Amino acid sequence: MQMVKKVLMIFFIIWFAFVLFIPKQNLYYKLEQELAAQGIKINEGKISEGLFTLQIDEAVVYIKGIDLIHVKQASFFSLLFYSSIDLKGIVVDKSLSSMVPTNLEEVTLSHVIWSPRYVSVSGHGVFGAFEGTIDLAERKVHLDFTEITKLGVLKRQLKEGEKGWYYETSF
Amino acid sequence: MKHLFKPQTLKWIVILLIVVLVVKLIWLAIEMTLLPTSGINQAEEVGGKSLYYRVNLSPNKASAPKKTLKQVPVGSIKDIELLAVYNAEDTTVVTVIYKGKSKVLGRGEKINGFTLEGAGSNYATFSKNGKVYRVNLIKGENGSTSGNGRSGISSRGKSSSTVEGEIVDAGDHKIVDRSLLSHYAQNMDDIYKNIGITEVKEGNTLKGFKITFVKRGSPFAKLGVQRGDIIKSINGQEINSYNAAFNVYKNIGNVENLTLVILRGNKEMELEYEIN
Repeated sequence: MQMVKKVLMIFFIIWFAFVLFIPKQNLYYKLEQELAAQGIKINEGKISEGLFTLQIDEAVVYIKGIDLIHVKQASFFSLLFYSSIDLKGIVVDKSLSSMVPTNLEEVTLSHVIWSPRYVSVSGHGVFGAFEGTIDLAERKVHLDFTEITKLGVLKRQLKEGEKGWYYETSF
Repeated sequence: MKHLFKPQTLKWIVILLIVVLVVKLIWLAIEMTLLPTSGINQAEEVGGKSLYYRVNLSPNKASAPKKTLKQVPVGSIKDIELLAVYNAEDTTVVTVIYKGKSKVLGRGEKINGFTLEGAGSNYATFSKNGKVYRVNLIKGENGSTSGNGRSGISSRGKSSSTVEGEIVDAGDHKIVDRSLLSHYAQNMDDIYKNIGITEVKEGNTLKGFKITFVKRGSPFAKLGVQRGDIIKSINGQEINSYNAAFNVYKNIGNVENLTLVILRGNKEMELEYEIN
C-alpha cells in the first residue's frame, strides 16, 4: 500500500510539473506557425501567462492577409486530460454580415482525453446559443442551435432537423 | 544529534525535487530545440492606394465647346417615357411614349434627338452628344410594369431571389446596373456560382487572380471577361494580395466607374464599366 501511494505521488508530481512548466507562450507561437502555413495570421495586443493558462488580449485574425476577425480575449487552459479555449468578444468584418453573424459574445472549445476524437463547442451571440462537436477523425462540424432569438443571415446556412436548427460542415 | 526530518522523508523530498527538475529540463530542451521563440505577425498595410475614378482627359475627344452645339432638336430625356422593353440576345426593342404618342424603337433609332443604345431588364439607355441617359420602365396602374412574352422581356415583378439589373454595351464601355453590383456585394456565394477565380503565384509572390470559368449567360460573361484572363488591377489598385482584392470588394458599392486591367494571353487589356 505504501508503495502504491509512493507511485501515485510520483505520478502526480510528474503531471503537476509537466502542466506547470509547459512553455505556453512558445507552444502558442508554434500554433501561430502552423496557422500561418494555412494563410491565417494572428496579431495579438497582449500575451500573458498564468499557472495553467495563456491569455491573449485584443487579437486580430488575418485570413490570407485580410483583417477579418477581432477577438477581445482568448484564453487557453490545459490540464492535459482536459483542455479548453475560451474566446470572448468575437467581431467579424462587417462586409461578411450577409453571410455570417458579425458578433459572437463567447465561444468555448473543450477537449477531454477520454474522448480524443471530439472537441466540444458551445457559444452564444445575438442570434441565440449553440452547442455541438467537431469530429476530428471524420473532419466534420455539427452545431445545434439550442436557443434562437434572431437567426437573420445565419438561417441560410442552417438546416432544420427534428431537434431544431443545426449547422453542419466538413473541413 | 537530532534530525529535524526523518532521513526517509528528506530522501523523498529530494527525489520529488529531482523529478520536477527533470520535467523542467525536458520542457526546456523541447522549447530550445522544437518550439519557436517568437510569433508570426501580419504586417499591417498602411496608406493603401484608394480606388480612383476614371476621368477622361483625352484631347482627341470632343472638346467642351462642341458639346454646347445644339444641332439636334432640343428636348429633354424626361419627355421620353419607357412603356415596355423587349431584350433578346440579338435584338433590343423598346416602346416609348413621347408627346402622348407611343412609338416602337429598335437599337440605334432616334427619338427627340436621343438614340436608343440598349436596354436592361427594367430600363433603356439612350445617348445624346456622347452622354448616356437611362430611362426606367414606368409603373402601370396596378403598380406593375410593362413587359411581355419571352424570357428576354422583362418586368419589375421579379422575385427577390433573382438577380436584378442588366449590363448594357455602350460601345467603348459597358453600363452596369448598380443593383446588380449591390446584389453581388451582398451575396458573395452568388459570385462563385457564376465565376471561378484562382490565385496566380510566381514563387511566393501573388501576381493576380486568374478566371478559371465564367458561366455562360451570367452577368459576368456579359462583362466581357473570359476564362484564362488574369485580373491585374481594378481602378488602379493592383490586385496582388487577397487584402487588395477584398478592399475592392468592400468598396465596390460606392464606385461610379470600374476599370479592370486584365492580361489576356500576353496582351494587357483595359475593360471599362460605368455603374449606373
